[in-house]
Amino acid sequence: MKILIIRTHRLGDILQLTPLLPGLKKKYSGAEITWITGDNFAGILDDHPGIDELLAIPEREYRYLLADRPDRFPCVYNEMYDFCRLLGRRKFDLVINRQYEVGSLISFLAGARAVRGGSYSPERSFVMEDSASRELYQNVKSDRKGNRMNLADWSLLIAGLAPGCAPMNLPVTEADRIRAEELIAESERSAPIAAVQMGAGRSFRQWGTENYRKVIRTILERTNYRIVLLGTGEEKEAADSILGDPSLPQGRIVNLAGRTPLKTLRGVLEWCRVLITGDTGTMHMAAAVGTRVIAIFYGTAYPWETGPYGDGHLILYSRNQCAPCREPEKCGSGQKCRSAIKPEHVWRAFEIQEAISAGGTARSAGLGEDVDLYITAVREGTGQELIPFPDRSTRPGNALRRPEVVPGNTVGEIAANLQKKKKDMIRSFYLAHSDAFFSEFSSYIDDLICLAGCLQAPDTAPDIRNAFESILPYIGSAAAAMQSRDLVSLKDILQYRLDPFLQEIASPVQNELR
Amino acid sequence: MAQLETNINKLRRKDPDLADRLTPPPPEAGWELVHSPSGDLTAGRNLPEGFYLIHSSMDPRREAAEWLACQDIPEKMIILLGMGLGYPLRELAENTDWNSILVVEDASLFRLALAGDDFSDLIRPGIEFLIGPDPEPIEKRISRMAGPFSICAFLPAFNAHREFFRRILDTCHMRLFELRISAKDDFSETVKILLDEIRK
Repeated sequence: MKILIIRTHRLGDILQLTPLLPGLKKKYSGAEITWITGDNFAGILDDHPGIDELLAIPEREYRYLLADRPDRFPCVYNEMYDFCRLLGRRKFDLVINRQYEVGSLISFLAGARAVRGGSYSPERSFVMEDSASRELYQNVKSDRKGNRMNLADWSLLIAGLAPGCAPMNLPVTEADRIRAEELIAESERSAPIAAVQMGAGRSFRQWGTENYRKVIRTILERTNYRIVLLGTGEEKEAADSILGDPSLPQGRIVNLAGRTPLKTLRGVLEWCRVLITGDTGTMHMAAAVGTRVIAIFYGTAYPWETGPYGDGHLILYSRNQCAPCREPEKCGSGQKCRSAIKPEHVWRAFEIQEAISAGGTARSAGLGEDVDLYITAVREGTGQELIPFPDRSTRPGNALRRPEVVPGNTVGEIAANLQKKKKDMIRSFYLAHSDAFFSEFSSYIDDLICLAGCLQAPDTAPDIRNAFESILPYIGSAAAAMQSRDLVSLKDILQYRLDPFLQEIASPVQNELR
Repeated sequence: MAQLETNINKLRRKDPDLADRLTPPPPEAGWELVHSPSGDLTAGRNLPEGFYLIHSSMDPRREAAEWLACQDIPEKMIILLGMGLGYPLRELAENTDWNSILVVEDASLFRLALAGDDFSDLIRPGIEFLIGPDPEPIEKRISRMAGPFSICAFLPAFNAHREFFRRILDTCHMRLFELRISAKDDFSETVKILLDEIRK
């Protein structure tokens, strides 16, 4: 069974599809899953064990070229033509399209035998063949409030699977963990960590720096937690203002805004005990790596649709009748749904989350009249429910089932990943994608540095350490080749000098995988 | 130099103008031939940033075979952008099902290739050499392509004369686009709709 999943953009939407991977593998034994995504999200999926083949299209670049560079149209046209023709040769049995029109057109061009989630034909234009897709479309279009199902569950249903049959999931590699540790170790190591993601893409979705500052102050004053500030480079300034606030306890805040590529971010989130955030891609990533979330929902964000998926997350949502709104820019109520949620509500949710994860209970939410607190619970067959807190009678024990982090063969795993990256780079070289080659090489070197760090450990076998020392000159040569953009020498160094060494130390891990 | 003369003499029978152009050394040079451990030749030159290689310094034939394995070649007319010393061309000619191959290369590198190896099996009907540095006649030739073709690029040779090859590549894309659009079939029309959707 060859299955194609199409979702190219928005981190959160991509992650909400990850339950499909174990779900489909379980339903169709031996299924081969291909996923089409945008190249800026490839890094988050390229080592997912549930994906057999990841195909990335430069969607953002295409959008720019198509809008602003009409002279590039023939080139983009030919690239998409060739891409879709290649898909056609794969002969997919089933396409699960979660990209609406774009996915429908790609599904048609791929000539799939069956399409779920929206399809296209020149005779009928865009159609939705399966009832789940039609129902979801009607819900989103006419009555979002009537919807009580998370998009992750809708996707499972569209794919012909039972809602709640599989968890959201994202692997965290040893290299991610090492990079996360390096970043987080900027403050004292022993205390637990609460991550705070202040931004969301658009201003009406932002809860406000001052609100977050108050929450952070309370956490720092009343607990031994450290705070890690997350966000994009654009959010760095706001994060800096908190880091530099002299009224906050010093030395317990790390500002990682703009410093966490997607892979590192998953390592950081796994490290944290809880994430406080609005409805963001980071929220879904935390849920996918098993970290508890306290989510603040308002404006267009609707927790039944896009709330953090999994057991035991907490969601704050105002009781404002008009929420979720469609046009926050035209709000006539001064965005009450947002201002109703106060820093003290988030602190209360934090206390409750602490009590739950310690195995205890909290008797009352104590949030007043304007705000509700929900706890998430997933059941196979019905999917995710939002249970009003403290009404926990329907579910015993809401402690989040956090996946256990099993210390693995760190050196072997990093070496195996480096070998995979080498294959990708050599493919980019032969396909004449020089930008991709150089960017993959930077990521390769990052992992190699991680590996070098691991090999400094006193328990490293002397023969491996000696072998690593023998390849050090080639790493220097690679840096020189990078300088002169000499791709051939770079490729040779990877293939003939570094790879045999990596093969040697990765083989125990590869044998295990086999 | 004997190999170069032999190859140019053979080429003269097929394309006398090109043979004449190659007889005096082209003004841009700087390439040197280097033996790899596998016994095959590679070529490189010194740039201000460092040494720049065209083929693997370990095993150029294996590299060419791996290169071919990654190419998508659905059409029997092929345009090869950059052949270096000829390894990718030989792989294409020996291991694919083709009707015609148009080889685009810069004169200095092409001359070096003819000096380094026997091209008598590659100077033959069906294989056409379009040699720079002037892109205009090459563009005219590509614009006359009558049917769809596959475009293959050998990156190190392409990057060695990037501006020249980018221009030729754009011409290839324009011609291929014209040919595909003129087919007016469901596939080519749907790709157009797809791009409209991506643009939104």
